[in-house]
Amino acid sequence: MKSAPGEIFGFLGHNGAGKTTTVNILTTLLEPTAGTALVNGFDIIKDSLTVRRIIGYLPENVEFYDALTLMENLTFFAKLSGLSKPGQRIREVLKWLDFTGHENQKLATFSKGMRQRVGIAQAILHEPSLLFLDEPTSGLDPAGVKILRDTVIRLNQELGMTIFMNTHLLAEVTKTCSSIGVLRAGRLIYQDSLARTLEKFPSEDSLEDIYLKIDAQTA
Amino acid sequence: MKTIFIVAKHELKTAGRERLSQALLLIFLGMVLISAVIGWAAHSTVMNVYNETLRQTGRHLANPFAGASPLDPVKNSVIYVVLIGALLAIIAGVSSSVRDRRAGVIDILFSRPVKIRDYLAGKLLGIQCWLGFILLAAMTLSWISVWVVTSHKLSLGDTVALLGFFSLAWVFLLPFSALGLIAGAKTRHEANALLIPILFWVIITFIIPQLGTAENPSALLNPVPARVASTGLLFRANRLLLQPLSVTEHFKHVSGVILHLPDTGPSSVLFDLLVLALAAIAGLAALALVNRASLRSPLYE
Repeated sequence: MKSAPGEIFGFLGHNGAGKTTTVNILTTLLEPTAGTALVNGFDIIKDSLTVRRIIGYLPENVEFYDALTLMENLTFFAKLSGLSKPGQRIREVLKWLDFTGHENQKLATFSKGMRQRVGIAQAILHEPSLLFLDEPTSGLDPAGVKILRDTVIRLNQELGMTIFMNTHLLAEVTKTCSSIGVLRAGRLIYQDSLARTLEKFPSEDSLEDIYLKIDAQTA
Repeated sequence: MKTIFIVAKHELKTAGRERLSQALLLIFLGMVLISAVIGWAAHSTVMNVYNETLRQTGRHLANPFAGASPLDPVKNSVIYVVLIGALLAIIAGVSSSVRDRRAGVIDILFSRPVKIRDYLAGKLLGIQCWLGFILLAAMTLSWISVWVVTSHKLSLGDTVALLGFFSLAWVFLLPFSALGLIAGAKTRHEANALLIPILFWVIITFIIPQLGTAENPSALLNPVPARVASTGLLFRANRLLLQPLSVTEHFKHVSGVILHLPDTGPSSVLFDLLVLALAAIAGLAALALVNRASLRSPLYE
């Protein structure tokens, strides 16, 4: 599997296919039992600390310290990312995300959608070149899904971030991704750009049908 | 190194906001205060009886507190450190790792350039700073209480002795903080995270010293001042293998020596200090064995 710089890569697969495990390996949270992987040319095992410096990560169930305020939470993660005086940068990011006015609010009062935006904020504070999103729309209401989708597109187009997104919401993939990969039982069974994929399967009405066809062909 | 301080500072901030930590701080300081009140009441009662006896008999009698250490009123603090302090350290350690696991921030934390050892060292440093703050407050209260009880300020030497005792207490609590952190990081159930270190604490605080008492059965039956060690393989094995594990007894003994308390027993201070140092090193070594996988594993209530 190879993902090109500057693209939004949709990583698809059934539940249990190994999508989250793959992201955990690429974000250096898990060590692979076999094989190798490079992130921006850095080995995930030998150069794990370097890899972590250049990536951002939003896990599926994003949670924070509820007893702390938004500013305190973000300051902690920013400092861990190497920003020594992160106040200015945090304000910039929150403004960019159109999420100002909550800085001194405790996270305990935040909704799922708000937490997801905090998750995005912590992931991009250190200006990573590659962002991993694991099921980012999971549990969000339609308005939250739209905000997140728009944010992902802006991160890619305005900030030039490469985005690797785990999802099984194929409608979202159609709207946001430039290329896709399909994982089945831990193996990559398909990878191509979204445009070419749609061309390859002209008889199928939607990406959902294409996905099911690819899955059936390799079963 | 920088990460350690970032995590330690964060630990202090989050622990300070938790009601459990605040309650434990109040309990510990409350006990120190109560100890001062009890010390004051006991001192006053004995002195009232002594003065009344002097007045009624007109004879010169020895002052019952004449030979006592000026630090005698704070002797209960030794027990409070062993009982409440150790529990407090365990709870602070468990809460610290469980907090991060429950909050679900572990994956975000370790997607940052953070080494597991720096993270754990920062956590331990934060907890120890928190405990250090509590002990410093307890020391200040003790110093004031001695002043109130005896109507005399402690001399510089006694103040240093008091500082020495609370510093020793800080070292004594370190393996308990580490134990709490380890249990909170490795167990799958929150209840076990607290039960396992408490069981360990009960063993080294109560069970092993009880076996030591059994070694001197004559002391239980009659007030023989000198401890007569029993002979026999079982007692020798107990003395050689189990007694060094009784960290709390070694702490109590050194504390007694530092505070100039009477009847501190025959054990060697050097050996006591060695046991305490080894306990602290063992705690740190065990903490170094915690890995990311256990921190990332699910935690059930």
